[in-house]
Amino acid sequence: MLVEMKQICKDFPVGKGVSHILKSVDLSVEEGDYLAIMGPSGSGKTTLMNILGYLDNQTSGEYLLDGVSYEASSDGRLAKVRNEQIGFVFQSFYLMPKLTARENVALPLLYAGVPKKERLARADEALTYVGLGDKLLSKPTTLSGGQCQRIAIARAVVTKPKLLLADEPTGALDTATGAQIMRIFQDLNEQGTTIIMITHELAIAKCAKRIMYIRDGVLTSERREEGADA
Amino acid sequence: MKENLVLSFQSVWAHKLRSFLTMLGIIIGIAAIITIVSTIKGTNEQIKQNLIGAGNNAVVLQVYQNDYPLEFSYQQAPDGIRPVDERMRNHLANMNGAADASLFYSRQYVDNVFYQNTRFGGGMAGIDSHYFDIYGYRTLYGRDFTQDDYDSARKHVILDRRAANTLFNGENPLGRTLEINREPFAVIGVVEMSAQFQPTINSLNDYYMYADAGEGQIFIPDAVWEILYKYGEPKSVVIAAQTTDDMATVSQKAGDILTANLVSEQLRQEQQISYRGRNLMEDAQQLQQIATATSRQLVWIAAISLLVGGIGVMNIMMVSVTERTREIGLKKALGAKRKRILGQFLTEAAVLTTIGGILGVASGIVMAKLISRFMGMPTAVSIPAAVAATVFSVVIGLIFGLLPAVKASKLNPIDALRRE
Ligand SMILES: Nc1ncnc2c1ncn2[C@@H]1O[C@H](COP(=O)(O)OP(=O)(O)OP(=O)(O)O)[C@@H](O)[C@H]1O
Ligand SMILES: [Mg+2]
Repeated sequence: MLVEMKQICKDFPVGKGVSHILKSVDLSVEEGDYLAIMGPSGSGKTTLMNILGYLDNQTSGEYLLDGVSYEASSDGRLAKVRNEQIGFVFQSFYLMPKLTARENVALPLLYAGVPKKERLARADEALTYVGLGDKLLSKPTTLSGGQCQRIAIARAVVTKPKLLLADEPTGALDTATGAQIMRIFQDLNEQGTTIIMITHELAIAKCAKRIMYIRDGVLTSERREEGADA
Repeated sequence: MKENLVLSFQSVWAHKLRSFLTMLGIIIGIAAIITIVSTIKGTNEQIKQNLIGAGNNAVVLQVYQNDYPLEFSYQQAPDGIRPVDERMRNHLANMNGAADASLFYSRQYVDNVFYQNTRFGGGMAGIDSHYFDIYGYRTLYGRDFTQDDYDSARKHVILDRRAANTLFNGENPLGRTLEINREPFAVIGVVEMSAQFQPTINSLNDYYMYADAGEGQIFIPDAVWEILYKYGEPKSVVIAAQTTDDMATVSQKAGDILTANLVSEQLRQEQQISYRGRNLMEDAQQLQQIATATSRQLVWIAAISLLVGGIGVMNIMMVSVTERTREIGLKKALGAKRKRILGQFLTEAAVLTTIGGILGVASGIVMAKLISRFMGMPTAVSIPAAVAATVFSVVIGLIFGLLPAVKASKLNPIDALRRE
């Protein structure tokens, strides 16, 4: 099991009290799986994603990644896990506007301590893979949303992580561009990358192997009533 | 490291005006320090030049007992000191670092010199033909001693300007007769130290050049001195060093040579008698210390400006951390460790203050030049001070950048990313 979550809870302080956003999340994802998570706005999808990616800590519960618990790990250790095992794709890309496409993509390799020459070679390879081989030296500000998101995907996979986490990767894109992104995800998954993707759109979610729903702080496989999303 | 430097320069450049305003405190502080230090150094160099280098880098060697020169007005010379002869003078004049040498007798105060009923209370020297050259005296009125004056021991006397004034009060002294030791001496000339050999700092001027000679100085040929004061007394030696820097070694070496050759073993051992140079360097250093100490206080004031500048840097770095929270969050999400974020912001703060420091050094040098030009104060740019100031500005950046950098490095990636 690549991802193993048991009774994950997450509280946020609200005023003087707390609000229980995740009440008891159980989740198992095998290697090679491709999971889409849906749920209404504010239901805690991003919160769950952050915990999965070690960007945030759960309030309680157990989370094993590849069989290892990183609870109480040092900041440096978590940075290493994020760098080596996980790739992130965000809704709003989060690219560095002053860096070129290849420099953006090479960033995680810099943090991994890869020498410059190899860094750039691998970045170019990743960019070519997402179809941007001709935009290596462009800055994000000169590119379209779809192109930016493809740079972000290249950056997420350049370290060859086991787990790709995507939080509404097509949320800022039109349908055609979204479909393009989904083809890349499909291909990545076929090559063995495990993907967990959050989305509002059923059409996008259907690209995944399976879909789960988050509601009232719990994650379920069955879809209850219609129209809660979008 | 290189990445950080590039990033830092980019970020400083991206906010040119803001960066400049932030640097201003550092620039002003460093500039003030460089200016003050240049002024201190300039003054000190002038003190050194005036005091030590005055009179053509003259090194005076006299007979000392323990640490005090022997004054022969009051006491006879002890037996066992052989006279300095022309051969020895030649030897000293040709020593490494020496340009010329002169032998002379001298009294700091004389009580047997009169013009009519006025007693002269200054000093007197019995000199050879090299003396005036070495001290940079030039003839104002009348003439210098001739070879005949020396050879035939003529009873001629030359006054310096001050002696002429005290004795003759504005009258023309040439051709008048002074009575020295009840013998008549004709005044043949008035001399003055040429301007370039005169100290220009007034306090030193008074203290060192004229303190010795209160009412001035009169000169007679050394051959006449030997007739006036019948007992043999050791001559003093003045050597012109080639440069001011040679003076200490010349003084040391000449003292050793003279002592070894002329002072008997017994005198040396039992009465601690030796030839020695007056340690002008020590005198100069004392005066320099006074000048330095007063200016040091100004440095403290400049340091306060640096402190304020440093706080400004800290403030703007805090703003920068807030502005770039998302960038920090992203970097952490991609696997950047704390150290890297810390390094990035520290580098940026240091780059900011270092540029400020370099600009400060440059403006300090310009200020110093302007001060010498328009206020006539001596200044000298100190390279070590410039280097130290630059290094110091790096350190300021590191110190005041530390708090913001630590703050940045401790940002929770999710808090950082959430901020839109
Ligand atoms: N740091 C926080 N402090 C307090 N409340 C928070 C914090 N982070 C998230 N929340 C709250 O938790 C709830 C879930 O947020 P989350 O971002 O996970 O929702 P989401 O499912 O991703 O929604 P969306 O579909 O709009 O992206 C929201 O009500 C949000 O206000
Ligand atoms: Mg969300």
